[in-house]
Amino acid sequence: MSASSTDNVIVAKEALALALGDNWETYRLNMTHWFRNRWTKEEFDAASREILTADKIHLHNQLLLALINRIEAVTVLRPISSMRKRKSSSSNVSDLFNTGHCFMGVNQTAQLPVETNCAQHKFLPDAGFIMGRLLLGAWEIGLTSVDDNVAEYVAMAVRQMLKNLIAGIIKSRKHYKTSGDGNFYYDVGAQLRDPSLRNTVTRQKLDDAPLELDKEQQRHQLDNDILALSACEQVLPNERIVITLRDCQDALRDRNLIGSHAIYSINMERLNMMMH
Amino acid sequence: MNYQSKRVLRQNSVSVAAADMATPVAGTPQVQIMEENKSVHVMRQVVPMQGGNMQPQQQQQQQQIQAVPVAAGASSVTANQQIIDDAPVSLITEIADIMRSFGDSDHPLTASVKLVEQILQQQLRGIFNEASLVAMRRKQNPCPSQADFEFLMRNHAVKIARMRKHLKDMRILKRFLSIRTGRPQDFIDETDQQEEDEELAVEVQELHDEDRMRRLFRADRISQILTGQQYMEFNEARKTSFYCRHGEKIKNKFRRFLDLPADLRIPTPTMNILAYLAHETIAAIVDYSILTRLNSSNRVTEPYSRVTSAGGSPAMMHVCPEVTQGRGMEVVKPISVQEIHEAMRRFRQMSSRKIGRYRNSCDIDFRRSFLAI
Repeated sequence: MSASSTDNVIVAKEALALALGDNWETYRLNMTHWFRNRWTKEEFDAASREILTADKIHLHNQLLLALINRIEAVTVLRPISSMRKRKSSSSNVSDLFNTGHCFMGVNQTAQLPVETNCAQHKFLPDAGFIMGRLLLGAWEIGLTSVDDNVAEYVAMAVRQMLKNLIAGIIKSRKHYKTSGDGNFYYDVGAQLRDPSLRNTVTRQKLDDAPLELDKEQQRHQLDNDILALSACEQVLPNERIVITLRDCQDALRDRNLIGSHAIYSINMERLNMMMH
Repeated sequence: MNYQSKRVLRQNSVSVAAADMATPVAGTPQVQIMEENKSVHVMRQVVPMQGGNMQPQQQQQQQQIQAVPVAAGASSVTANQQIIDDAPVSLITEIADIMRSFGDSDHPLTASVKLVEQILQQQLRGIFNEASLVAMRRKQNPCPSQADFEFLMRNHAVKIARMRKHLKDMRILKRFLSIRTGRPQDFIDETDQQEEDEELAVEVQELHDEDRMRRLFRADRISQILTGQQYMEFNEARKTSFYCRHGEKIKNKFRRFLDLPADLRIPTPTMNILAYLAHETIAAIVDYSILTRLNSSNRVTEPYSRVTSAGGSPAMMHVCPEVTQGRGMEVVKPISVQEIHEAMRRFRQMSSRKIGRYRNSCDIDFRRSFLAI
């Protein structure tokens, strides 16, 4: 199914490119503006109307239809699993259909998902969302098409990077335990036990060194004494701290969170400007 | 399809054999590049810089390049063709059993097992590659021995101790079994090997092995909630291994799974170490996946709660949360693909801790760490 929808997109694009000739570049640029949410649908329509004559409109409609099919194919194929940190599914994307018609001269209600800002709507991009932009990017540099895996891969990479950043920020504020000779962390946010209080209830490791208990105190059965047990627990309450921009700035000083220096430097500049 | 992307997220490990630059570039077109589902391998004698760029243009399969001695010229290509003709080896059943023995549920999810298999293949080949490099530097022969693997683990005495203890136990077991079956030739071979190995490196004290205690504890807790029949199955699962005993069957299957170069003669002790590392890798994956389940909602215990007679509850909970939380007959949940992804992500994030905050893990000389080493 995806192979045929890919072919449809390629065929439609080739036909339109052939028909437009020199104007293909302009058309593609308009579409890029639309996909990056710089233009609304109406502006895209108006700009395209200047380029397209009456006989090319059906090619334009054909291309848009093929794009819709392709994006829907990608979002349907991907299994919607219930991951904890994932904030959206494809249903959110379909909610974002813009109200205008995307076909010119034909009264159809099929709509393309407008590529809006993720931060604006607070959800993570999924494969269908990215596919449109990937296709445009591919055409820009002269490639024919984009595989389905690529969009899924990019979506997954976005999730991983976001998780790394959030984990980096939280780890600088809360305690956590490490294991595997320092190669793994878990139990973020665990309370720190009082190190001067060592008994069988509060021991963290399984095989600690044997505790030297005073002979006098051995008569005192710790497990049965509720008061003693409650004294071993956390005395102060957990205070919930709101994560601020300052925390983000501090955590990002670890250069391993964002690998590429270009992206890092641009975004750190933005962040520093936001602090003022 | 998600697990395919997992493989490419790691760095491609390209080892350039600088000593073999003399071989002409014409050697490269003879290389067969096959698109198999799981096992894709490219055998090269030499890795010229321009030829090495062919690698990333392939699909998302990860390529491993082994430095094969120049003498085994055409034979490596023909042996390459022999391996390609066989069907891809899959160790799904064995890996499912091993996962179960380390703490997964009775029926591990198929997707998880496939993902673990992919990770295992990638990790083992990477470890083998690194050990081969060490062996090349040490004795000009790219077949790693125990000393090379120990060199890779040199920063963690606990891991070396664990491996040595395991190998020693296996030797004792093998000798015990061979006495029972009455095969004296095995008995004689073993004593020679044992003396040679114990001369290696330094003697380490008995250190507190946290991971091993955790695994043993988890196995103990699980066995307490199993019924009789389930326990028999659990026992069988714990016996599954890739260890090469008398037969060649498991050794060949394991070797084909790893796609090691066919002309490289790998002795049995090295295969046993690889089998041990396979177990360690799967154990680490299962451990980490279960530990990722611990979150703020299931870690709180009241101070007056006692679990069973096994000891204090707060310490035990962090060992294996899902078993200790259920007071008694709660079933162990199977490990899901997302948990494995999360575990690998955490592992990768911490692996850059050693190089500090201001160096990048994308640098050339960043030595990536493996689960078992």
